[in-house]
Order: sequence, then structure tokens, then C-alpha cells
Amino acid sequence: MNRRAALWWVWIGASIVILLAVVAVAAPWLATHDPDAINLPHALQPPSTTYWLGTDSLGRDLYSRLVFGSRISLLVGIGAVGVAILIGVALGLIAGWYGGWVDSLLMRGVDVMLCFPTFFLLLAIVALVGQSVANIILVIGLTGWMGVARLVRAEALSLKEREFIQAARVLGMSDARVMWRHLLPNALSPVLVSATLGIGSAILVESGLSFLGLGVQPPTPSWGNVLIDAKGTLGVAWWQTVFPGATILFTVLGFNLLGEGLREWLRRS
Amino acid sequence: MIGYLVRRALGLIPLLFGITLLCFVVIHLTPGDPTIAGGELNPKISLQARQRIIEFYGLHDPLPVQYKRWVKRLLTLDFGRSLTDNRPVMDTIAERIPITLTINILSMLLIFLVALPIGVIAAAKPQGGFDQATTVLVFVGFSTPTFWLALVLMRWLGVQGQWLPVSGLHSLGYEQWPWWQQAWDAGRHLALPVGVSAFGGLAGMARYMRGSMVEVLQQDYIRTARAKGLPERLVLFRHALRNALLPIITILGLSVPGLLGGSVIFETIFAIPGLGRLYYDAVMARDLMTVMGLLTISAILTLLGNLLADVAYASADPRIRVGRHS
Repeated sequence: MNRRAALWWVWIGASIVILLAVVAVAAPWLATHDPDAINLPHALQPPSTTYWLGTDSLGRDLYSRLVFGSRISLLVGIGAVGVAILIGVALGLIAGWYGGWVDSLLMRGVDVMLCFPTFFLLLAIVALVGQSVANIILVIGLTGWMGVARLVRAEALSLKEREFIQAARVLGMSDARVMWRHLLPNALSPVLVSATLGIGSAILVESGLSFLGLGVQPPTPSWGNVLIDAKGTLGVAWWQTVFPGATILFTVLGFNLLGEGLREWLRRS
Repeated sequence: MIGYLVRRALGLIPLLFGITLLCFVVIHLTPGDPTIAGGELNPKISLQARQRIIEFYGLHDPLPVQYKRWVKRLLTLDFGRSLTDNRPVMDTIAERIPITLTINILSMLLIFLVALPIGVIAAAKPQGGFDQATTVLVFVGFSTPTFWLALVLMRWLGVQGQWLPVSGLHSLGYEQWPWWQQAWDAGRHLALPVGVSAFGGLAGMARYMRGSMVEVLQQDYIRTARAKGLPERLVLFRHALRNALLPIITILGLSVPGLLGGSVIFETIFAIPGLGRLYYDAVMARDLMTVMGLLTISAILTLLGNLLADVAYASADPRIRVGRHS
């Protein structure tokens, strides 16, 4: 991929992400119905001019539920990645900077975390600590920091031998200050890329969890739990399966394009 | 090679220790008392069940004593009895491992069969039409929620067309059929789960394969092979592919946890009685005994997968096989 293609990816990805952000913020104005309003006589209506994307088995408007669901997806995606970045950056900086046994210990910790199927850990912890949105954000973040930690450690390892870092140390800067002021800003671009890709996968994980009934609890609409109802109406209401899934795919694709495009673009400039 | 493998196996010991420690932490994760998971009034856990958890893990003992007991039990693979059906947890797990293993091995084979040629052809002409087309497909693959794909395939291939069965592993009354009909029946039942599970890993594998091939194709020995006039087909498949496959072996080993985790979703959707379904049911019933047992076993299976990948790598790489360590 050349630089121009990479830039295209960034633009397409960014447009999708911005569109999503606008939808999430303007949800009350964009929705045509109350997303939670049950209207049994209008259950399982196919897409029409009143119900743009049809209704579910309780007669709720699918379009409005998807519009409001974007809030949950974005919140969980960004929140979880925030948690993961905090943990990953802190541990990665410490491991790379101090080296020695601290480094070995932390990196073995990363290896241990990677031995567990993420979905197993997620389900167990969510079931044990309870499934509020805040818990879901925390848990997805807690199981997703390992990649960032490895990345930041590698950056720190190579940066700490560089002259400007040596100079900062000679000047008597404290370890914490060197890490914060000099290491971190220089390691930021790969972190940014992996954060963008991370939001996409966190949204996928949240929708999977919600689909299994261990994520966001109905009636609060999330893209995953909207699909729970779709499972029961598989043979009769195609719109209930197709639209939520397509929304997830489109969104995650946006974040992936943006992230990969950024990576290539940064690599080539 | 033996020395190399012994060193790799020894390296797993601290990991094993870490795994037991982390599992132990998860047991104690619940605020207050692990037995009141999901709230004091959780009706899913009866008083007797609570009592059994407290007794089994010795929750009133000091932490180091608890940990020692839990590791000692682990060494004999004793995870206690399930809170729902009172069978030893390990028996149920042992019963279900073959099902999940079969599906995952089949899906790995499928991934390999599809991703390998895609990666090789894409790498043969980087930036070519095929490469760009597959790059786009890889992105769509990465972004597709597999549980949704399962629902979509279920609807069009299973419910609407009735071409494939959508749940379980056998049809009703399959016991009376001749073996070839049983095999055909099992194959039809496995088609969707294996297909969906493979789809999840396909994009990643195609990408790794392409990356690995591109890297190998820049090596000096490839230029030499071309310079001495070998046809491109031989260069690609004899010289490049064999070397490009080496890192893929490690990737296969690393993909074990992802496959196990993914099995929760498709085994639940397709009603397949494997490890994933067992885990999901245990979590929903708050059966802490089964959850902890399976969580530990899954991590150990991952370690075994990594070790297996090391063995495969060692026997495939002549630098290690012959004994000169790199």
C-alpha cells in the first residue's frame, strides 16, 4: 500500500467514525420513535416509511434502537480502550525503562494473560462482578491491555538508549518525569494506531457479550442485545438480523480502516 | 533438538504458576465473599451450594493455605463437583473436549487450506489486483461479528433453504443408521459451525501468510534461485513457501485461546455440547466450580498448544532439528 492509498483509508475510516459520533450525540433528534416504547399491535413489521428498519417482536422501532445503541457501543469501545491504554502504557513504560527483573516479571504477566481465552475471562468476571455498563468497560479493558504493553515496552527499550533521553537523565530528571515527558510522547503514534484498532475490537466484544446476554441488559438497546431478539425470529423477520449486524460490521470496518490507514501513513512519512 | 525443547518446556513453569495465581485471584474477585456472586440475593446460588463452595475452597482459611490446597487439587485435576448436576467437573470437561477439539481442528484445516493459497498468490505480486482485492476482503473479515454471520448463515442455509441442520451434532434416530449415513449426517451438522469458526480466523491467517511470504521473497536465496533460472512456480512453492510456513506454526499455537473463546459463541448458537457451551451454561447458572475448572483447563490447553507448536517448529526448522541453536 502506498501513501496515497493509506490516506484514502484514513479518510474513509474517519468519515465512518465521525458519522457514528454524530449519530451517537444526536440520537434523540435522529430517532423517529422512543427506542423502548413497546407497541405490541405493531410487532414484527417489515421496513416501511413509518418504521424505517422494521420493528422487533415487541413492536419497538429497530432504527431508533440502533441509533441509541450507537451510544453504548461508542461508550464501551472508547472506555474499554481507555482502560487498556492506561494499564498497557503504564506497565509497558515501567517494563521497558527499568528492564531486568521488573521487565521479566511484567512480561511473564503478559504471557500469562495471553494464555486465557479472552472470552472465558470476560464471561467469568462479568458474571462474578455483575454486568453494569461500567463493569463491562472495565472488564474489556482489563483483558485487552497486553498488546499495548508489549508495544510501549518495545518503544521504551529502543528510545532509552537515544541521546536525548540520556541527556535528560544527565540533567537530573527523575525517572517518572523522563518517562512522562520524553518516552511517552515519542511512543505515542503506535499507541494511537493500536487504540483505534482496539476500539473496533472492543465494540465487537461488547456486541458478542450482549448477544450472549452477559453484556448490556435490555431494555437498554445495544447492537448486540438487539440481536438476541433476532435469534427468536430468524425465520420471519430478516430485517432484525441483517440491519444490526451490518451496523456493527460497518462501524468496526470504519475503525479498522482508520487504524490501518494511520499505521501505513505514519510508517511512510 | 531435545535440549531446545526441554528449555522451552521449563520456560512454561513460571507461566503455569502465573495461571494458577490468576485463577485464584478470579475466585476472590467478587467483592466480599466469592459465594455471593451477583449479589446477596442471587437466587441462582442456593445456601447449600454456597456452603459447598466455602468448604471446597476452604474460604475461611488464610489465603496461602487456600492457595496451596487449590494447587494441590489442581495437580490431580480435581476441580470438585458441579453445583448443577453434582458430577465431578473434570469428568464433564473430559467428555466435552473431543467435540470442541474436533471442530477446532477441522476449522484450522479449513483456514489453512483457504488462507495459504490466498497469502501466497497475494504475496507473489504485491500491490497487484489480487493482493488489493484480498486486502479488502481481509478487512471485511476482521470486522464481521462471527455470531452475526452464524445467524445469517443459519437463516439462509438452515431455516429458509433447509439445506443444512442448524443445531446439535446428530439428527434424531441416527443410531440406527449405517455408518456412512451417520458420517454424512455428522458432516452436515458440522458444516456451519466449522465454517463460521474458520471464518473468524481466516482473515488473520491470510494476512500473516502474505506478510511472511513477502518477507521471505526479499531474501538473498530467493534472488539466487531466480538468478539460476528456476521457474517462478518452483521459487514460490519450493524455496519460499517452506520458509514462510515456519512462523505460521507459531501463529497456529498462539491461536488456541482465540479458538476456545470463539467456541463459546458458535457452540451456544448451534447448540453443540462442547467446552464453549459448557462454559456458557456454567456461567449462566453461576456454577463457580465448573467455571473455575474450565478456566484453568483452557489456559493449560493453551500452554499445551504452544508447546506443541514449539515441537512442530523444532522438527520443521533444520537449524533446530540438527541441533545448532539459532
